Amino acid sequence: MKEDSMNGNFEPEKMTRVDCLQFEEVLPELDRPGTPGAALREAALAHAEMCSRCGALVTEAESLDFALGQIAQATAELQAPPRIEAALLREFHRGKSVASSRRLPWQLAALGAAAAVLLVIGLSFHRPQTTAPDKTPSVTASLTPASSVRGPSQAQPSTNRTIANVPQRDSRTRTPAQKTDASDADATEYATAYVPLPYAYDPSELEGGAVVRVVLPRSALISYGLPIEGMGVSEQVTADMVVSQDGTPQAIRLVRQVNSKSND
Amino acid sequence: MTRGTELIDDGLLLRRMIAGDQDAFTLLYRRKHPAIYRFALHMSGNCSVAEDVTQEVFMTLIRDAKRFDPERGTLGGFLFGIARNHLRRRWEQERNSVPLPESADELDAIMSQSRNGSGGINGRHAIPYGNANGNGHGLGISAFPIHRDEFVSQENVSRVRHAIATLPENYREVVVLCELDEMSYEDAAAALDCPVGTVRSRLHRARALLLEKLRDAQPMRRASAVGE
Repeated sequence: MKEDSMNGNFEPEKMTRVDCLQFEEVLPELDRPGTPGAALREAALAHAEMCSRCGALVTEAESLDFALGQIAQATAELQAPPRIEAALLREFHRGKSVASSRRLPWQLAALGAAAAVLLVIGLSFHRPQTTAPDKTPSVTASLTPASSVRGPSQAQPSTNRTIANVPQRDSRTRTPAQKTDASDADATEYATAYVPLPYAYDPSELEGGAVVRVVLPRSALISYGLPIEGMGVSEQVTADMVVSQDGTPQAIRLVRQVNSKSND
Repeated sequence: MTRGTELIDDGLLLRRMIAGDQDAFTLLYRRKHPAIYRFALHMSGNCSVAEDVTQEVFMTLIRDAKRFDPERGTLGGFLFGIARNHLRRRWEQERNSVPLPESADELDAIMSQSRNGSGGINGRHAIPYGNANGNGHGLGISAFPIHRDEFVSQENVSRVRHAIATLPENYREVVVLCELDEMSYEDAAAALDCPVGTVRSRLHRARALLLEKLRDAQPMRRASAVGE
């Protein structure tokens, strides 16, 4: 400012908007839209008209802008050569094939794992049914069909029929899922069909009766008229006995408990 | 590139690219690579470096596109960030090595090619100057027969080019982006991952430094003033 004054270019009445300090600050932005410099462009140029030092700065800045513009113009259309794009596309393809080849083993592994889980679950359901018959003795006796308990008169014709080759599950027999909730979770029961006892002559007596779990000596079974000779039945036999209201046994079935843990 | 493809958002193209769409990648590359290439060329002054950097930037995008977080900035800013890292790594490596003549600044050759409107970069007319390896060290001269006013213009341009090459990296970046690539302050700030105010102050300082260097070397003459 002092220089300007000394040069006689200082006009205080026109310096109200932009001074030399402000001018230097906004000079690079005079032609840049949206900047403070562009907003003060007219005032800054007016200042440069009157201030020789700032006028020289404008000349220098214009020369610099001209050179920068030349460089920008000369390089504006420059692009990387096409071989770079080709190389990148090859890499893109390679990356895609690597990614898909990485995905394939994972998909196969997932499928294999799922198949293995299904197989294990299927076996756990299937195994008790397939292994139990081997462990349960078949009972050849004068037994009635499993579905009902019949009176002696009805039972007679079925003498010597084999009905227990394939043991039936008791209604109380638990499925594997139920087993986990029960206190005796490891036990699975297999039972024969109910066999009416020889003296149980009144099937109506069964109404209002009860089922009692008993452990009987082998001899008791013989006394009930069940021919169990040669069946490999142990000395103590677990059985469910249907008793009538007056406590008279009406039917019996043999029960075998299989410990699933021991099977596993 | 058609008008329709220009309307497709960068983010959408990137998602399609990640999903394996080659066309999306091609479109993204053609849209973004010129700015990256020019940035690397202006920063290094060397075509092969610029090519390498451009290739590395997009290789990184192919391999690691999921690193881009739209919450943190634009895709352009992400790519410029990768380019800057590659350039810095390169300069670190070159700092301990003796530069070869092939690594000289080739922008003068490009400038002369542009002026003459013929020839390729391999048939350069300019004598490359040594050791302008992107660190801003080393100057050279251009020498080819031209008219006087054109000579003054070219002389100025060449001196400005070399002055830019000697600027510290952070000032050179803003000059390249705001002056040579004519980016707005906002776009440059996004590219450099810094505030707009920083870009503005750096550019101001960079221009002051450039003028200072040019004054020290020789008074600048306006090409338009020659012949008066």
